[in-house]
Amino acid sequence: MTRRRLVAALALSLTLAAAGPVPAQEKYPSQPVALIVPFNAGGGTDLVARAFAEALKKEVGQPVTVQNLPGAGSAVGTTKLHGSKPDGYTLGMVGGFLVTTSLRGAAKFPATDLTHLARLSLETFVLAVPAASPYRTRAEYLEASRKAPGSVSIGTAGAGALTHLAAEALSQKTGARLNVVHFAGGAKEIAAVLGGHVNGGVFSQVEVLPHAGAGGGLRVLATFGEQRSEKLPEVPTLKEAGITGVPPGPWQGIAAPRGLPEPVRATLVAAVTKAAQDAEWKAFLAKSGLASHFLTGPALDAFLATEIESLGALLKSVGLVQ
Amino acid sequence: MDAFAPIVHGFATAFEPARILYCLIGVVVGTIVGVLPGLGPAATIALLLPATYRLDPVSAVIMLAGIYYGSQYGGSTTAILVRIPGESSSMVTCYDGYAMTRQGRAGAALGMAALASFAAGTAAVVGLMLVAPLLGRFALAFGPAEYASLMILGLTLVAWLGSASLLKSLAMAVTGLLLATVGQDPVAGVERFTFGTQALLDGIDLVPVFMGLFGVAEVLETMERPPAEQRLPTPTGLWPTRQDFTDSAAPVARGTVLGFLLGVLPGGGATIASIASYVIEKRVAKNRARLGQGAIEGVAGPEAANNAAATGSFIPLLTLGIPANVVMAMMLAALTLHGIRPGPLLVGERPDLFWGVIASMYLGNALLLILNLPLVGLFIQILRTPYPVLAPLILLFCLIGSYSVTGQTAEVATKARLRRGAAGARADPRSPARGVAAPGARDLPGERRRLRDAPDLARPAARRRRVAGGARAQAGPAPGPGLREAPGTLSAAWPGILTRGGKCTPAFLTTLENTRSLRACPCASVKLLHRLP
Repeated sequence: MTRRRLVAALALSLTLAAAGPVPAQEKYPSQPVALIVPFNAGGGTDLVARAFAEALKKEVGQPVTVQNLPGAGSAVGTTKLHGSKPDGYTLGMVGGFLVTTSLRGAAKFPATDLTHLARLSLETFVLAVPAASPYRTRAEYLEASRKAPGSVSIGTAGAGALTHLAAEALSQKTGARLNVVHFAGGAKEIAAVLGGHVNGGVFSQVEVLPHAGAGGGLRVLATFGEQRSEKLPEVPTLKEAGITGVPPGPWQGIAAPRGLPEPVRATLVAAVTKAAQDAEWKAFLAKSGLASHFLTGPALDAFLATEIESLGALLKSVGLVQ
Repeated sequence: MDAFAPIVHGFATAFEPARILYCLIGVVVGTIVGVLPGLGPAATIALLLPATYRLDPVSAVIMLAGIYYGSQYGGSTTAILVRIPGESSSMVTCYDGYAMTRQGRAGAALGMAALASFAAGTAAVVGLMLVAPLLGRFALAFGPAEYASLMILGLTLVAWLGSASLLKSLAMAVTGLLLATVGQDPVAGVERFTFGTQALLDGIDLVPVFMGLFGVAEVLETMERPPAEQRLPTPTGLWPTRQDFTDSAAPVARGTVLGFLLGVLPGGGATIASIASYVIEKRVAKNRARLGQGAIEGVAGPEAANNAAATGSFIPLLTLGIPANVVMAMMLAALTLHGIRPGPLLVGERPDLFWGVIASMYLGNALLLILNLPLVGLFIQILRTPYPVLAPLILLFCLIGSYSVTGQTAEVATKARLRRGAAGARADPRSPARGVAAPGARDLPGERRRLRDAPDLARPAARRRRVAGGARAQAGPAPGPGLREAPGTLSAAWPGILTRGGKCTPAFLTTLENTRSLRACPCASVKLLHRLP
């Protein structure tokens, strides 16, 4: 008897549970939004994500919670984003890392197989040498490598990292014969350049700023962005010297899974666009030495397409993609 | 006087009531994180990072720094009590710390770990204050050739550390290297042994490996024993003895200097420092075989080294803006959140931050000592827990620890796979907890008494047997067959090879000493082979 009653009670409760929360066609957004960061808390992408989540929260009217899903050079997090339900409640941070992991096969989907909402920020790479270095300009540095191929070294933050591709591209596009040296992360790379163990290195601008001024340990020879950097106005860009086709720097964007319903997509794009004008967000960008390079719509698609093409060609030329 | 002004200002900064509170929160959280196996300071600081956004940067760094060096205090607790390192930097503390627990000296080991940590932590802060800029330059001068030499030295020491069999040590070192090759190649960027899965792309983390090799293996092995033998001996005495202090002074001093220097190097850190300190203690010990059998030096040296390294690793961050390890990268992120980018100019631009954080470390270390010494009495109560209750809890914490590394089930699976092999590997005769040396391990206090009673070789055999018999009676269950060889049997069985002229050959004696397979040599020419403290 008791068992039968138990079974009945169980069946009833399950029925009630199933019948309970019928997902009504409520207006989006009615629940908190998750923002996947495919890196550890404390990394560059994480800091950007947390600052932007604060701004986005005000626009969508729901909490935006950051979820760190590190692993496999961002492929774990982006794969999770790719496989999430396209309901607008799961968003994720994307960037150059998405393009490279997807091209190299760690993330098993094309980078365009997401609903890209916007590009939020773009940072510039820089070429820096030790302050005691004999090379006073970019031209001198590259020329020395042409005279004695392989004798001038350039550091990167790791094999397959964006700085690696930038260093290779710089070598290829200028006919220089640089000896590319990989380090396990930007911190070890900058320590090696400061200590004079490599002749120079490609860095994010943020990394070199504390060492770049008068009396600092580094001399910045070139910036890779379109325009001169506000923080380093005296440093010429590569473009001024007529060098093109070098990845300009890491960018960060925000995306949702593919197949987002159009009204939800429109709401999100509008919210993201407005959040990008937020004063606190802009203050954060200025404080961390990043510049707002907001892009959305067709301009974003075009940017992605060129990014995939140029990074794909570079990966192939260094043998990381067959 | 002017030279001291910034330091005095730093103390004034650190000793504001609110900051004392944050320092206390940091060290308490750090101790908890250290005690819980697997949950490391990097993961904790990552979790707490967003919360520090609302604090001022000095308080934030004081608190996060407290978590880091606090975790170095707590990490030894589980290593000593249940042979599971709470942090990877306490791995080597397992060897002698747990052996001491099995001798009923858990209190002495825990007390010494806290005192060594305090001594080293405080000395390292003094070092940080005096020579920080100088050592920053030293870290930069350390180039590829130096790192390569350090690596080769490390591998050589690993092979040398296992003194029982060079072949086995080298085989295990190679196994370790093979495990480390899993993941993305750091130079060419190609994937190695990943089977095309994302889970293996980052390589195999150290935490699940040591959880499987130490923790789970220990639990399984203990469960194989009869219930009466499972319980760990109730500790006798809470404090290190006078002899312990004498034995520990030099190891603590060596560990502090070594740990501090290794901590300063980018890529160095507390784990490498503790292993290096253990190897050095083994090198300088008069009787090398003693280490691993419950020698206080094997606890004091590494525990001093990991604390000194934790403090030393702040130098590259505060003077150059270069994080020496993952935890320092988190610290850098905390500062970046507040718009501070540490670099060579930090001392001049933010003296309150630089000196405030350093001053808070004195306070933090004192708080940790006050916190940890009473905890020794509490922690050893864990040993009274019946093993059937303790074992599932240990396994549960191992699982949580492995999962918390990255939040992936693959890490847990790694541990599960290593566990099987580990149980076999632990049959290594050097291990105090199992194998042919089991009677000694089961009743180490008894054996110590026996050794004390019969220290010389001249006593008659009858007296020797009586004393040994007495120890056996205290031990409870009689040792299994073959464990206590009657004098002469082996020599009869292997004349000319193991013995010559009725006496054991020196080579055979060395083997016995190294493998610890017997406590008395079969021909009774040398009575006691291994001396215990």
